Amino acid sequence: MDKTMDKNTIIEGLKEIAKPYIQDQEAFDNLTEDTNFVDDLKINSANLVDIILDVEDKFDIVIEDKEMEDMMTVRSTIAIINKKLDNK
Amino acid sequence: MIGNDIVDLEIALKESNWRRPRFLQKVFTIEEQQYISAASDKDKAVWLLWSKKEAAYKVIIRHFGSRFFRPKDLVTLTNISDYKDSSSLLDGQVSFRKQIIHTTSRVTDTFIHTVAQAHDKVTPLLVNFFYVEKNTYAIQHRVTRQHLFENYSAVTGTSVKNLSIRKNAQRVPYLYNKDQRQILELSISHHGHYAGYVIQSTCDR
Repeated sequence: MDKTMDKNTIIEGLKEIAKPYIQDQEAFDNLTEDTNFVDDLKINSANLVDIILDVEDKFDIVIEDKEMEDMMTVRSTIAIINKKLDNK
Repeated sequence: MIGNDIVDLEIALKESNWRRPRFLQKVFTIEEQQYISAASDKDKAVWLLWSKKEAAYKVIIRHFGSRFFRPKDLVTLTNISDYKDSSSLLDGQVSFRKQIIHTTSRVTDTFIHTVAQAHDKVTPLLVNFFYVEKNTYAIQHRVTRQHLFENYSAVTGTSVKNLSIRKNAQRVPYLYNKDQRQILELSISHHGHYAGYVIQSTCDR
């Protein structure tokens, strides 16, 4: 059975997670798959850890240390979430 | 090579909950976690190690040329300094693979500012840290740059209005005079109400 999630559903989930940490409202309002959490949303790196933990909680997955660095953009984060969901 | 990082302790306390489950395990090695749990002021211990890693990271991306997010690969050597005397500067080291980065941290009750260098005992051209009244990102960004330009101008005699900062693809900042990239390294950091920067001439490779 395909356990992956629809891209737009994940994006909505990620927006909800990122919202408290963003420091650039305009970039957030115009968020796309290319949006980078640090460069565009100006999220500080300590809060990037919070986002990773929030993603783990929301999607009930465990992100390995070596996967953390791929979670810089919305697109790569969607890919990791779906890979994890698929391997569950 | 140079880097710096500043942490506003009050904002960190408010906006970053390092006590939440799994936070420390994602960021710190076992030894670092032991150091934190043994510290009398755990908040300061967490953000001191954090600022050392961040400042060292900024040195390392200059060296490797690509970005990464693996906080546990930057290992702070926790046995060599503690912050008992908050008036002094703390020397420390961060290792990344086989490379050692030297750090100097100023730990106060309101902020922690760490400067990191690939080579020991090089005095930077300029090191500065200061309080910014308004703490929104855009204002911090502008005020920090203005402060840096004025300070650099005072030291070198360059006109402030000709100075600008541009970042390369790895988001490493460079100082420009008109359209001429200056042969020096700089690192800028701001968080909450505090900002810091460091400038070094690049004779130190």
